[in-house]
Amino acid sequence: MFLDSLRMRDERLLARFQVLSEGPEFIGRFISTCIPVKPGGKMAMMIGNDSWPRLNRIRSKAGNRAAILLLALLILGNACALLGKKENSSKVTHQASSVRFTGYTTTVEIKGDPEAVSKYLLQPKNFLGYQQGNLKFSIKSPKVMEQAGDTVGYIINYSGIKMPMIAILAKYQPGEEIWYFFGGPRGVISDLRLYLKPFENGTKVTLKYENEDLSPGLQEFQESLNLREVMAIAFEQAVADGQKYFDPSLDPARLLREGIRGEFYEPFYDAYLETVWIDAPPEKVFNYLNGPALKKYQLEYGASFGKVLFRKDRGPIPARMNAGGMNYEFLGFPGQSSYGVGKRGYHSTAYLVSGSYNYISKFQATVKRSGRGSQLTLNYEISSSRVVSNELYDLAMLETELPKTLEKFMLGLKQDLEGAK
Amino acid sequence: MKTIGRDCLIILAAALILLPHPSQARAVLLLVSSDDPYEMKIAAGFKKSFNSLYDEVNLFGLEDRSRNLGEKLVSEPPRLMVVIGNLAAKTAKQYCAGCPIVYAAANNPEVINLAGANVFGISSLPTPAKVIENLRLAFPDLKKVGLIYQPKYVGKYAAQIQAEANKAGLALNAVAISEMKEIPRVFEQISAKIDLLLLIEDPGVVNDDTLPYLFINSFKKKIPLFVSSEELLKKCGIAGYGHNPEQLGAELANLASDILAAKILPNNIKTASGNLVLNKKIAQMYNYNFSALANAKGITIQ
Repeated sequence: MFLDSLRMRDERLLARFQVLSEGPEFIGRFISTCIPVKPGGKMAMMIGNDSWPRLNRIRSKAGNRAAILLLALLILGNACALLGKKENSSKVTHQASSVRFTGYTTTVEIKGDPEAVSKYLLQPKNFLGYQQGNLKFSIKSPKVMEQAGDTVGYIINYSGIKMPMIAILAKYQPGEEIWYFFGGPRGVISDLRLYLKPFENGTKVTLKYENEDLSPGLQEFQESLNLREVMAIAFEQAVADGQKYFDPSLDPARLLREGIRGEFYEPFYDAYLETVWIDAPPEKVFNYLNGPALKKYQLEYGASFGKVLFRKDRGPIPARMNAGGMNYEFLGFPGQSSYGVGKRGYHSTAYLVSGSYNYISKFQATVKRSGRGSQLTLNYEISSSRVVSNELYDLAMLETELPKTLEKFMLGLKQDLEGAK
Repeated sequence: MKTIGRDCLIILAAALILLPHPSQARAVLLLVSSDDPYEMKIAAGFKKSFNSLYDEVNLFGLEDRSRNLGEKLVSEPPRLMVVIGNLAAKTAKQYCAGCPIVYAAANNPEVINLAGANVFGISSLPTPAKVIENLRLAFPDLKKVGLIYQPKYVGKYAAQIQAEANKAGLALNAVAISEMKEIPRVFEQISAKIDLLLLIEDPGVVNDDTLPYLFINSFKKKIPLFVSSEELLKKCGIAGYGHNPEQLGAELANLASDILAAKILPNNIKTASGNLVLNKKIAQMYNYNFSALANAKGITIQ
């Protein structure tokens, strides 16, 4: 009944969205994520076409530096984005901005123990089986998720428009935390985080859903879909159904009789773009990034990334770093990659999650032809939303140092490649 | 035997006097929004100081519990509702609009629309004069201060801060926004013009999502944050003027007692008393050393 009010207000926008959703970039953008290995930690799942990484530091004040270097290496290792930069320039250009997201959070109690509730929430039908009014979610592969890295495909059908989607279980800590990433058209990102804790005779579940806003030109369309409210209602319905599953005496319609139970919020993501021009063809830059030469950086900084740089596994892939007496452990997921496709050059996405941080990051790199050389672009976004105070200090240091560190790497890479000519 | 029987009767009579009469049980309802440590400390301070009978309900942040309690409140309204936190305040206003309400830690009473002759409370916002006085104490050489605020929440308060800053010879660059999404743009706009950012408890600017953004981006530009509560200070402020939550609870208890004794005028909103608080961990990050006077007068945390 909540969706009865949902109607397309503009048929032209509807048609526009259909074109977008069926575009060549649509599927298969998600790729990687990382999972924390914090003992007794939380669990999380990612839903998404575009993935997000989480950076985690096991310990340290100096850990920031090591984490920065690891991120830099991972980004470089994944090869990547190209933007315009002046040919022959010896500088790295920096751009910083913020990315807009819309968030929704709600907290409910469920009359089941946290372990049982976790298992319930791992079944795609319990969070993707939504059907109401002209909105329907159809699960393509209705399997049970079991571990981080598991995925499930599904289709959102809204007024006859079909949008293929994918959900990734990004983090899973039984009885504590589940994170999903969801992929949407044009790489729009959304994530669903479920935090569980024992409460009286059951479990208190806090749901947080964040969705990246469409670009300004498409915001009118987004508003016409009433997406914010649609998703809030969908999740409220899902959790109400979950409450009833564990306590048949409850009536979801009665639970929602006064409307949604949570509130919207506006998370912020910091976005950075670093670009450098290199006097070498894209193939050479890419091969260098993925070849043995990169090992010198790993040795220099005491890092061991396993196969995470080469995207041979779907993840999670353990990675670790020891620098300055500090140890870092990560679980990573290789991201989407496209190599040598037309003028797009080489494109890759990497995601990192580490155990002790509560933030999400996405890293993309592109190598494209630019004049007689290549342009290497690193693009990364870090969410600081809901980061707690102890993590905040480290994150502040990280965001302060990361651009400088990336600049060093990019200039080092440029020097190596141009000097080797 | 007679003596024993008489003693028993006395004890029984005393017990009957001390035990709450069924009709008195809901005379005062202490309603706490969640098990958040800050709210729990306020509740603890209240319970230590409040001498009348009361019932206590914690909503544990659950809207379902608010709705279920709401049904009972409609049919059986208490004589006074003491509410701690936003969900409790919203519940009181929504389901017991006619009840006298006294609140604390409800930082968006305007959104909840907590206003009217039967609404009392303790504002978590310190007086503007105290904020500026303590800002000066912590940063004697300060000249340019920034403030981002939403007029619909703290417009009047921001104007008072501006007036006090002018008196103190501070250049306050106060920018009004109408929605949170403007924060990154406005921060970028003023950051080059300020030496410090003043963060007040404005629900239109400061929450768990915006605070990390403001702190990280301020830190990157070496702009410290001076905050208006101890809770904010623990999270990100270099210094601030804040209250002790247990003391706030005690003040809430006194206010509630005065309301029950009809010793207070309606619609009375008090201001919590506070202290200068210094966060030396953050100060180290900024390589800032507080003056001897600030150290002597302020309370240091972390």
